[in-house]
Amino acid sequence: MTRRLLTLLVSVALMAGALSCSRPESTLPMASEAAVGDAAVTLTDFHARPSPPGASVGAIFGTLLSGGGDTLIAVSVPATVAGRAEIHRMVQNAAGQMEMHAVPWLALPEDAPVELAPGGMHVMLFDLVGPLVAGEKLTLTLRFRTGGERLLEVPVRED
Amino acid sequence: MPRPTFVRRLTLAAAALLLAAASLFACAPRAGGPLVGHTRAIPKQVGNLSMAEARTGLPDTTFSFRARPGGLLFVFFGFTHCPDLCPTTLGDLRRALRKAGPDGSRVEVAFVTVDPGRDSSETMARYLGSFFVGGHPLRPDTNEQLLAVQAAFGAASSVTRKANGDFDVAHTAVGYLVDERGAVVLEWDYGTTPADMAHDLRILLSRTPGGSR
Repeated sequence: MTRRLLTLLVSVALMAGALSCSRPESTLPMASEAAVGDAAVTLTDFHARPSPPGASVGAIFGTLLSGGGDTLIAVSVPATVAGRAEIHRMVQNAAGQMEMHAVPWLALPEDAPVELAPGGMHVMLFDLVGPLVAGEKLTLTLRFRTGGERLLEVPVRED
Repeated sequence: MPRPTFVRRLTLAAAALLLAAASLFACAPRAGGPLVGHTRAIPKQVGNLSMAEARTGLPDTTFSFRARPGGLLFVFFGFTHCPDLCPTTLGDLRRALRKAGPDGSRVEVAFVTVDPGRDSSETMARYLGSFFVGGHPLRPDTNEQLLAVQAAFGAASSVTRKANGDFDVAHTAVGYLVDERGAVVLEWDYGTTPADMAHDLRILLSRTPGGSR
Protein backbone atom coordinates (compact mmCIF):
# COMPACT_ATOMS: atom_id res chain seq x y z
CA MET A 1 0.00 0.00 0.00
CA THR A 2 2.67 2.45 1.10
CA ARG A 3 4.93 1.22 -1.68
CA ARG A 4 2.19 1.88 -4.23
CA LEU A 5 1.65 5.35 -2.84
CA LEU A 6 5.38 6.02 -3.04
CA THR A 7 5.57 4.79 -6.61
CA LEU A 8 2.60 6.95 -7.51
CA LEU A 9 4.11 10.02 -5.89
CA VAL A 10 7.45 9.55 -7.62
CA SER A 11 5.66 9.08 -10.96
CA VAL A 12 3.64 12.22 -10.39
CA ALA A 13 6.81 14.12 -9.54
CA LEU A 14 8.56 12.97 -12.68
CA MET A 15 5.53 13.61 -14.88
CA ALA A 16 5.03 17.06 -13.42
CA GLY A 17 8.65 17.84 -14.16
CA ALA A 18 8.43 16.57 -17.70
CA LEU A 19 5.11 18.28 -18.45
CA SER A 20 5.83 21.63 -16.92
CA CYS A 21 9.19 21.83 -18.63
CA SER A 22 8.00 20.89 -22.09
CA ARG A 23 7.71 23.89 -24.37
CA PRO A 24 5.03 24.11 -27.01
CA GLU A 25 7.35 26.08 -29.26
CA SER A 26 10.63 24.28 -29.36
CA THR A 27 13.77 26.30 -29.89
CA LEU A 28 15.19 23.47 -31.96
CA PRO A 29 15.55 24.31 -35.63
CA MET A 30 12.44 23.18 -37.41
CA ALA A 31 12.62 21.21 -40.62
CA SER A 32 16.36 21.58 -40.46
CA GLU A 33 18.02 21.31 -43.82
CA ALA A 34 20.10 18.18 -43.72
CA ALA A 35 23.74 19.11 -43.39
CA VAL A 36 25.00 19.36 -46.93
CA GLY A 37 28.69 18.94 -46.44
CA ASP A 38 31.92 17.67 -47.77
CA ALA A 39 34.96 17.20 -45.59
CA ALA A 40 35.73 20.90 -45.74
CA VAL A 41 32.74 22.95 -44.68
CA THR A 42 29.39 21.75 -43.35
CA LEU A 43 26.44 24.06 -43.98
CA THR A 44 23.49 23.56 -41.65
CA ASP A 45 19.99 24.98 -41.46
CA PHE A 46 20.49 27.60 -44.14
CA HIS A 47 17.23 29.42 -44.83
CA ALA A 48 16.02 32.76 -46.09
CA ARG A 49 13.37 34.67 -44.23
CA PRO A 50 10.23 35.60 -46.19
CA SER A 51 10.48 39.27 -47.18
CA PRO A 52 7.62 41.58 -46.22
CA PRO A 53 5.85 43.22 -49.17
CA GLY A 54 7.67 46.31 -50.34
CA ALA A 55 10.96 45.26 -48.76
CA SER A 56 13.90 45.52 -51.13
CA VAL A 57 16.25 43.52 -48.95
CA GLY A 58 16.32 40.01 -47.56
CA ALA A 59 18.40 37.91 -45.19
CA ILE A 60 19.72 34.36 -45.19
CA PHE A 61 20.69 32.64 -41.96
CA GLY A 62 22.50 29.36 -41.25
CA THR A 63 25.55 27.78 -39.66
CA LEU A 64 28.96 27.02 -41.17
CA LEU A 65 31.42 24.53 -39.72
CA SER A 66 34.85 24.04 -41.20
CA GLY A 67 36.69 20.84 -40.41
CA GLY A 68 40.12 22.19 -41.26
CA GLY A 69 39.67 25.95 -40.99
CA ASP A 70 38.78 28.14 -43.96
CA THR A 71 37.53 31.60 -44.88
CA LEU A 72 34.28 32.49 -46.59
CA ILE A 73 35.28 35.13 -49.11
CA ALA A 74 32.15 35.72 -51.17
CA VAL A 75 28.46 34.94 -51.39
CA SER A 76 26.13 35.36 -54.34
CA VAL A 77 22.63 34.59 -55.54
CA PRO A 78 21.29 34.48 -59.10
CA ALA A 79 20.45 37.85 -60.67
CA THR A 80 16.87 36.62 -60.93
CA VAL A 81 16.69 36.69 -57.10
CA ALA A 82 18.57 39.81 -56.01
CA GLY A 83 20.98 42.45 -57.27
CA ARG A 84 23.78 41.35 -54.97
CA ALA A 85 24.58 39.55 -51.76
CA GLU A 86 26.96 40.43 -48.95
CA ILE A 87 27.76 39.12 -45.49
CA HIS A 88 26.65 41.62 -42.85
CA ARG A 89 27.04 41.86 -39.12
CA MET A 90 24.85 43.78 -36.64
CA VAL A 91 26.74 45.64 -33.93
CA GLN A 92 25.72 48.04 -31.20
CA ASN A 93 27.51 51.36 -31.45
CA ALA A 94 28.68 53.55 -28.57
CA ALA A 95 25.34 55.37 -28.59
CA GLY A 96 23.49 52.12 -28.05
CA GLN A 97 22.11 52.07 -31.59
CA MET A 98 22.28 49.01 -33.80
CA GLU A 99 24.36 49.36 -36.95
CA MET A 100 25.05 47.00 -39.78
CA HIS A 101 28.49 46.49 -41.25
CA ALA A 102 29.55 44.57 -44.31
CA VAL A 103 31.92 41.72 -43.51
CA PRO A 104 34.38 41.45 -46.43
CA TRP A 105 35.42 37.93 -45.45
CA LEU A 106 34.43 35.57 -42.68
CA ALA A 107 37.02 33.43 -40.88
CA LEU A 108 35.89 29.87 -40.15
CA PRO A 109 38.11 28.52 -37.37
CA GLU A 110 38.76 24.79 -37.35
CA ASP A 111 35.86 22.86 -35.84
CA ALA A 112 34.18 25.99 -34.44
CA PRO A 113 30.68 26.60 -35.82
CA VAL A 114 30.05 30.11 -37.13
CA GLU A 115 26.42 31.08 -36.91
CA LEU A 116 24.59 33.52 -39.11
CA ALA A 117 21.58 34.34 -36.92
CA PRO A 118 19.16 37.22 -36.26
CA GLY A 119 20.85 40.02 -34.35
CA GLY A 120 24.28 38.75 -35.38
CA MET A 121 25.34 38.03 -38.94
CA HIS A 122 23.37 37.27 -42.09
CA VAL A 123 23.77 37.06 -45.83
CA MET A 124 22.12 40.26 -46.95
CA LEU A 125 20.33 40.30 -50.28
CA PHE A 126 20.10 43.74 -51.90
CA ASP A 127 17.61 44.81 -54.55
CA LEU A 128 15.30 41.81 -54.40
CA VAL A 129 13.81 41.14 -57.81
CA GLY A 130 10.64 39.82 -56.17
CA PRO A 131 9.53 39.00 -52.64
CA LEU A 132 11.00 35.94 -50.94
CA VAL A 133 7.98 33.72 -50.44
CA ALA A 134 7.78 30.96 -47.83
CA GLY A 135 7.98 27.55 -49.46
CA GLU A 136 10.14 28.69 -52.36
CA LYS A 137 13.84 28.05 -52.73
CA LEU A 138 16.82 30.02 -53.98
CA THR A 139 20.36 29.05 -54.83
CA LEU A 140 23.14 30.48 -52.69
CA THR A 141 26.73 30.26 -53.84
CA LEU A 142 29.51 30.42 -51.26
CA ARG A 143 33.16 30.82 -52.20
CA PHE A 144 35.93 29.81 -49.85
CA ARG A 145 39.59 30.82 -49.69
CA THR A 146 40.74 27.25 -50.14
CA GLY A 147 39.29 27.51 -53.62
CA GLY A 148 36.08 25.65 -53.04
CA GLU A 149 32.76 26.91 -54.24
CA ARG A 150 29.52 25.54 -52.92
CA LEU A 151 26.02 25.83 -54.30
CA LEU A 152 23.24 25.42 -51.79
CA GLU A 153 19.48 25.24 -52.22
CA VAL A 154 18.15 27.57 -49.53
CA PRO A 155 14.47 27.25 -48.54
CA VAL A 156 12.47 30.36 -47.68
CA ARG A 157 10.71 29.98 -44.35
CA GLU A 158 9.96 31.68 -41.05
CA ASP A 159 12.70 31.19 -38.45
CA MET B 1 19.36 0.40 14.88
CA PRO B 2 17.59 0.52 11.48
CA ARG B 3 14.73 2.96 11.35
CA PRO B 4 11.30 1.43 10.95
CA THR B 5 10.46 0.93 7.28
CA PHE B 6 7.38 3.14 7.38
CA VAL B 7 9.43 6.14 8.56
CA ARG B 8 11.83 5.69 5.63
CA ARG B 9 8.89 5.40 3.28
CA LEU B 10 7.26 8.44 4.76
CA THR B 11 10.48 10.42 4.29
CA LEU B 12 10.73 9.27 0.67
CA ALA B 13 7.10 10.12 0.08
CA ALA B 14 7.63 13.59 1.47
CA ALA B 15 10.68 14.02 -0.74
CA ALA B 16 8.69 12.91 -3.77
CA LEU B 17 5.94 15.39 -2.96
CA LEU B 18 8.51 18.17 -2.58
CA LEU B 19 10.07 17.19 -5.91
CA ALA B 20 6.67 17.32 -7.59
CA ALA B 21 5.92 20.73 -6.12
CA ALA B 22 9.36 22.05 -6.98
CA SER B 23 9.28 20.89 -10.60
CA LEU B 24 5.83 22.40 -11.08
CA PHE B 25 6.92 25.64 -9.52
CA ALA B 26 10.23 25.88 -11.37
CA CYS B 27 9.01 25.23 -14.88
CA ALA B 28 5.40 26.31 -14.95
CA PRO B 29 4.75 29.40 -17.08
CA ARG B 30 5.64 32.35 -14.92
CA ALA B 31 2.37 34.02 -14.05
CA GLY B 32 4.04 36.63 -11.88
CA GLY B 33 7.67 37.25 -11.20
CA PRO B 34 9.75 40.19 -12.21
CA LEU B 35 9.32 41.80 -15.60
CA VAL B 36 11.97 40.90 -18.16
CA GLY B 37 11.88 44.36 -19.75
CA HIS B 38 13.17 47.53 -18.14
CA THR B 39 11.04 49.93 -16.14
CA ARG B 40 11.92 53.42 -14.95
CA ALA B 41 11.17 55.03 -11.62
CA ILE B 42 9.84 58.02 -13.52
CA PRO B 43 8.30 56.75 -16.78
CA LYS B 44 8.87 58.76 -19.91
CA GLN B 45 5.76 60.55 -21.16
CA VAL B 46 5.03 60.39 -24.88
CA GLY B 47 1.24 60.75 -24.96
CA ASN B 48 1.30 64.38 -26.08
CA LEU B 49 3.28 63.50 -29.22
CA SER B 50 1.76 62.52 -32.51
CA MET B 51 2.77 61.54 -36.04
CA ALA B 52 1.18 60.93 -39.41
CA GLU B 53 -0.27 57.42 -39.71
CA ALA B 54 -0.25 55.87 -43.17
CA ARG B 55 -3.46 54.17 -44.32
CA THR B 56 -3.77 52.07 -47.45
CA GLY B 57 -5.86 53.90 -50.02
CA LEU B 58 -6.80 56.68 -47.61
CA PRO B 59 -5.24 60.00 -46.62
CA ASP B 60 -2.85 59.92 -43.68
CA THR B 61 -4.38 60.44 -40.28
CA THR B 62 -2.85 61.66 -37.03
CA PHE B 63 -1.78 59.13 -34.46
CA SER B 64 -1.06 59.92 -30.79
CA PHE B 65 1.45 57.84 -28.87
CA ARG B 66 -0.88 56.37 -26.31
CA ALA B 67 -2.73 53.06 -26.00
CA ARG B 68 -6.47 52.67 -26.27
CA PRO B 69 -8.24 52.45 -22.89
CA GLY B 70 -7.37 49.17 -21.21
CA GLY B 71 -4.66 48.36 -23.71
CA LEU B 72 -0.96 48.74 -24.43
CA LEU B 73 0.84 50.23 -27.40
CA PHE B 74 4.07 48.68 -28.68
CA VAL B 75 6.34 51.17 -30.44
CA PHE B 76 9.42 50.34 -32.51
CA PHE B 77 11.63 52.63 -34.59
CA GLY B 78 12.91 51.00 -37.76
CA PHE B 79 12.76 51.09 -41.55
CA THR B 80 11.52 48.82 -44.30
CA HIS B 81 14.96 48.30 -45.91
CA CYS B 82 15.94 46.65 -42.64
CA PRO B 83 17.00 43.04 -43.30
CA ASP B 84 17.27 41.70 -39.79
CA LEU B 85 16.32 43.63 -36.64
CA CYS B 86 12.97 45.02 -37.77
CA PRO B 87 11.46 41.82 -39.21
CA THR B 88 12.95 39.86 -36.30
CA THR B 89 11.41 42.15 -33.70
CA LEU B 90 8.02 42.45 -35.42
CA GLY B 91 7.95 38.68 -36.01
CA ASP B 92 8.87 37.99 -32.37
CA LEU B 93 6.17 40.37 -31.14
CA ARG B 94 3.64 38.63 -33.37
CA ARG B 95 4.58 35.31 -31.75
CA ALA B 96 4.37 36.91 -28.31
CA LEU B 97 0.86 38.22 -28.99
CA ARG B 98 -0.25 34.76 -30.08
CA LYS B 99 1.20 33.33 -26.87
CA ALA B 100 -0.55 35.98 -24.82
CA GLY B 101 -3.88 34.58 -25.96
CA PRO B 102 -7.08 36.66 -26.19
CA ASP B 103 -5.45 39.47 -24.21
CA GLY B 104 -3.01 39.89 -27.07
CA SER B 105 -5.73 41.76 -28.95
CA ARG B 106 -5.42 44.54 -26.36
CA VAL B 107 -1.93 45.32 -27.70
CA GLU B 108 -1.60 47.69 -30.64
CA VAL B 109 1.57 48.03 -32.69
CA ALA B 110 3.15 51.24 -34.00
CA PHE B 111 6.13 51.06 -36.34
CA VAL B 112 7.89 54.40 -36.90
CA THR B 113 10.17 54.76 -39.91
CA VAL B 114 13.49 56.44 -39.20
CA ASP B 115 14.06 56.53 -42.96
CA PRO B 116 11.13 58.60 -44.31
CA GLY B 117 13.24 59.55 -47.34
CA ARG B 118 12.91 56.03 -48.69
CA ASP B 119 9.82 54.77 -46.83
CA SER B 120 6.67 56.20 -48.35
CA SER B 121 3.33 56.04 -46.54
CA GLU B 122 2.23 53.32 -48.93
CA THR B 123 5.39 51.28 -48.33
CA MET B 124 4.98 51.60 -44.57
CA ALA B 125 1.35 50.55 -44.66
CA ARG B 126 2.08 47.49 -46.80
CA TYR B 127 5.09 46.52 -44.72
CA LEU B 128 3.46 46.68 -41.30
CA GLY B 129 0.26 45.22 -42.70
CA SER B 130 2.16 42.03 -43.52
CA PHE B 131 2.87 41.54 -39.80
CA PHE B 132 -0.23 42.90 -38.07
CA VAL B 133 -3.82 43.67 -38.89
CA GLY B 134 -4.67 47.13 -37.63
CA GLY B 135 -1.06 48.18 -36.95
CA HIS B 136 -0.07 51.83 -37.05
CA PRO B 137 2.56 52.60 -39.71
CA LEU B 138 3.97 55.99 -38.76
CA ARG B 139 5.97 58.34 -40.92
CA PRO B 140 7.38 61.66 -39.67
CA ASP B 141 6.69 64.71 -41.82
CA THR B 142 9.97 66.35 -40.89
CA ASN B 143 13.28 65.36 -39.40
CA GLU B 144 12.54 67.65 -36.44
CA GLN B 145 9.38 65.72 -35.71
CA LEU B 146 11.27 62.42 -35.82
CA LEU B 147 13.96 63.79 -33.50
CA ALA B 148 11.38 65.13 -31.03
CA VAL B 149 9.50 61.84 -30.86
CA GLN B 150 12.69 59.82 -30.58
CA ALA B 151 14.00 62.10 -27.85
CA ALA B 152 10.83 61.55 -25.82
CA PHE B 153 11.33 57.79 -26.04
CA GLY B 154 15.10 57.99 -25.54
CA ALA B 155 15.71 56.61 -29.02
CA ALA B 156 17.96 57.86 -31.80
CA SER B 157 18.86 57.03 -35.38
CA SER B 158 20.95 58.15 -38.30
CA VAL B 159 20.70 57.57 -42.03
CA THR B 160 23.87 58.01 -44.09
CA ARG B 161 24.24 57.57 -47.80
CA LYS B 162 27.54 55.96 -48.70
CA ALA B 163 29.66 56.69 -51.76
CA ASN B 164 28.47 53.52 -53.50
CA GLY B 165 24.83 54.58 -53.09
CA ASP B 166 24.05 52.20 -50.23
CA PHE B 167 22.48 53.56 -47.06
CA ASP B 168 23.82 53.03 -43.58
CA VAL B 169 21.02 53.18 -41.04
CA ALA B 170 21.77 53.06 -37.34
CA HIS B 171 18.82 52.97 -34.98
CA THR B 172 17.83 52.20 -31.43
CA ALA B 173 16.31 48.73 -31.52
CA VAL B 174 14.42 48.89 -28.23
CA GLY B 175 10.74 47.93 -28.14
CA TYR B 176 8.61 50.29 -26.03
CA LEU B 177 5.28 49.61 -24.33
CA VAL B 178 3.10 52.67 -23.75
CA ASP B 179 -0.06 52.74 -21.63
CA GLU B 180 -3.32 54.60 -22.19
CA ARG B 181 -1.99 57.69 -20.42
CA GLY B 182 1.01 57.89 -22.72
CA ALA B 183 3.58 56.66 -20.19
CA VAL B 184 6.34 54.33 -21.38
CA VAL B 185 5.79 51.50 -18.91
CA LEU B 186 8.31 48.98 -20.25
CA GLU B 187 11.32 48.78 -22.57
CA TRP B 188 12.50 45.57 -24.18
CA ASP B 189 16.07 45.27 -25.38
CA TYR B 190 16.56 43.90 -28.85
CA GLY B 191 16.52 40.11 -28.75
CA THR B 192 13.90 39.74 -26.00
CA THR B 193 12.32 36.37 -26.77
CA PRO B 194 8.64 35.97 -27.67
CA ALA B 195 8.18 33.95 -24.45
CA ASP B 196 9.61 36.77 -22.34
CA MET B 197 7.52 39.36 -24.20
CA ALA B 198 4.38 37.29 -23.62
CA HIS B 199 5.30 36.92 -19.95
CA ASP B 200 5.64 40.69 -19.51
CA LEU B 201 2.46 41.39 -21.47
CA ARG B 202 0.45 39.02 -19.26
CA ILE B 203 1.67 40.84 -16.15
CA LEU B 204 1.07 44.33 -17.52
CA LEU B 205 -2.32 43.48 -19.02
CA SER B 206 -3.43 41.82 -15.78
CA ARG B 207 -2.73 45.13 -14.03
CA THR B 208 -4.85 46.94 -16.60
CA PRO B 209 -8.57 46.22 -16.55
CA GLY B 210 -9.93 45.15 -19.91
CA GLY B 211 -11.10 48.58 -20.95
CA SER B 212 -13.88 49.34 -23.39
CA ARG B 213 -12.96 46.79 -26.06
